[in-house]
Amino acid sequence: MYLIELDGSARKVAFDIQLTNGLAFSPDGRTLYHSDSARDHINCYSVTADDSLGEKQLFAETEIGSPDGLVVSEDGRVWVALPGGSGVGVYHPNGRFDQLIEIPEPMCTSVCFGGDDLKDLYIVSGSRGSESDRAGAVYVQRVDVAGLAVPLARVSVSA
Amino acid sequence: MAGGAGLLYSDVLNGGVFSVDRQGNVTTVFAYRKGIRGMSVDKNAGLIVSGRNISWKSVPEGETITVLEKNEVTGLIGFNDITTDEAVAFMQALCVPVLFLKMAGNPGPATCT
Repeated sequence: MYLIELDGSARKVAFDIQLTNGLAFSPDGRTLYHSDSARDHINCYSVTADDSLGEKQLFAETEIGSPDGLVVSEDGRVWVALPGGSGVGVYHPNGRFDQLIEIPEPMCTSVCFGGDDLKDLYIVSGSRGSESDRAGAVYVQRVDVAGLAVPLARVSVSA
Repeated sequence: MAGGAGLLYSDVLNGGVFSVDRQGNVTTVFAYRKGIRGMSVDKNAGLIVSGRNISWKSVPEGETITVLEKNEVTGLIGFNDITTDEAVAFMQALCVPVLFLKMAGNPGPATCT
């Protein structure tokens, strides 16, 4: 895992990742959640004062499907798209499984919050493992908690 | 939703980034780039996209500037999901870096921002 600084320079901040996927910060910005899909692991890292990451810690191991794209809501829950799991797994901040939000396709690849109040949950499906014409679709569902807004990128770019 | 423009998504197999509004109307943001694995909205009227490299692309489609290129010698073969972090007290000087990831697989054909 790499970090691009504001000046455009880059550095590696985490190692030993087999299949990197979704990542998002906790509400206080002090924890980074990250999907390692090949291991079925959702890991978490503490974010240190010098913008480095602490030791990798297992946050949750998925039992149905593998973790892919993920987002965090204002209450600190982690919402994880589960390819092979037909939906989005929701985990409490302590890593305990909360619920599965199902979609009618097995390949759930990504998830994000939107809408004026950030309570619309958008869920993306892929086509792998499905013959349905709904494979490769975007679903939306209202949820009872707002997602965290993701800041705009401000990396320096120059031609 | 990005600036009221709609939900942004990429078509990783056929290429392009698109926006769909509340009525289901789809507009093309970028038509041609394939294999986009992650996106972040940039403050400078553009998108940071990841895949074979990390690039900034202006909106509407125009200039493309490479932010970071892959380096197969070092094992950096491509880039998957990305996110941004906030300017917070404990991170001090660095406000909104972009985190990006070495790609090691083939995510599904579409992704939210």
